[in-house]
Amino acid sequence: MRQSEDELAFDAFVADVGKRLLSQAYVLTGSKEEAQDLTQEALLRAWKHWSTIGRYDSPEGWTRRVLHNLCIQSWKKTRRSLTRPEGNTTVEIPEHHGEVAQAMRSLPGDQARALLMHDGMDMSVSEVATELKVPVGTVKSWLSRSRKLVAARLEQMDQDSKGR
Amino acid sequence: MSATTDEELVRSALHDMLREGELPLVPLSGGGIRIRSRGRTWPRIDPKLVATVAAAIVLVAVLFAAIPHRGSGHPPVAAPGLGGRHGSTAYSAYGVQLSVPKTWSVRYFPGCPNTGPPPVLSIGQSEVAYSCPSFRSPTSVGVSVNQGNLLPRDSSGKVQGSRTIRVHGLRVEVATSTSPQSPTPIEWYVPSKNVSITGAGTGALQVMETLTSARPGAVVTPGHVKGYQYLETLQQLPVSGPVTVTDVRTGMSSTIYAIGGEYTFSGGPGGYAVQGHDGNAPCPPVTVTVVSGENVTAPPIMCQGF
Repeated sequence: MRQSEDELAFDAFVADVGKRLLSQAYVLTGSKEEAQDLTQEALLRAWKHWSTIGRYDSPEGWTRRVLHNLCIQSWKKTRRSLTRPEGNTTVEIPEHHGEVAQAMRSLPGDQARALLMHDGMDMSVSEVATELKVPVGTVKSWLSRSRKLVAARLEQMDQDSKGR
Repeated sequence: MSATTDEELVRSALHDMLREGELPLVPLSGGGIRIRSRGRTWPRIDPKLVATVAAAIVLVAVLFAAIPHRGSGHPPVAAPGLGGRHGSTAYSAYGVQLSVPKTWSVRYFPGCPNTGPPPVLSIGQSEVAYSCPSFRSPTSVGVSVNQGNLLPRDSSGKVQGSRTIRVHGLRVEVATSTSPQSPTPIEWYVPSKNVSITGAGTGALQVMETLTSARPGAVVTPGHVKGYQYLETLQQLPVSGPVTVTDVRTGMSSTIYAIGGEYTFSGGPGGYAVQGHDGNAPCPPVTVTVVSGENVTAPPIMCQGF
């Protein structure tokens, strides 16, 4: 069966952005399973609207916004701590990744997104401001504040591990 | 700590995590996402089709009103075409659901594997299948859904290389297959439903990725009934001949035949009255409850003779 142009374009899109989206979801959730579920969900929504967003300059930006929103909504839904999972059947993640994700969760959603996009994905302040639809000054202020908080948490974790 | 050091620390931690997070638990593919979207309840509305569909609905309504019709119940065997969209159909069994392309065939309670043209979705196992050398395996290309934990185990009984993923909210144990079969099967077990799903060949993983909990609208797997009718004299003699099966809920009947006293039929979940005949004389009916996806043995029909 021949694939339509939309299908071919979408397949290429998933091949191009899938891993990037997955890794962002991992940072925001601290769980590989949840990251996989939410990334698939975001891509499903992208396919649902593909006739529209496929014509955007950046379908990735649209899908990323959906994904980040799904991740942040999942914080509110689960409210669970990111302790290491029990049993041997769940995918193991490095302990410090759980700490980073927990630190990200402690931030307001938009600040976590800004920090991930700027410090994690190396987007410029103006690109982050455009995507989040806020002034550049606001992004700078968010970055400064959230960085301090996350860094403090990482420092604390480092000291705790040395003290053990 | 200085702002620069904070930034370096955070950047380093995020980059490290982003690198690690790029490794998918199951491959992400556009094809898999598209197949999965077909199992969704939302329709991808094509404005051009709206007028055509509306006209078709009106036509069907007019025809329906014009043609006298009988009451309808669940069909004895589930028919495909109820739950799918855009070239796929959703099938439910044992509390889970998979969507398969319409090009796939579907077999309920198949016999030994590797029969029939691939690709095939096999649901349930016939009794004979349990004596097959590797009944766990589907046909060379296809997906098989069965009750119980059929993950391959080593000699100590431990599942080989098991890890857990989540598919549409369902926790799934994935085993590292050591089967010599080619193509190598993908082995899944869903603990919350006690269901094993095994797939192999092109398109199998994409179908498996459509896994969700069973939803209304999917084609429900029928149940399978086996029973016997006897003539009760000094001995119990098997009676061959017609057996009437009546859906208790709808009153619809169909006739099957017992051969050497044994009869079988498949039907949608629910109660059925089964009545045998000794010659022209009806025998006392028995009732049997059919459970989706399960093999059920009906109580014996005991004909009294004259």
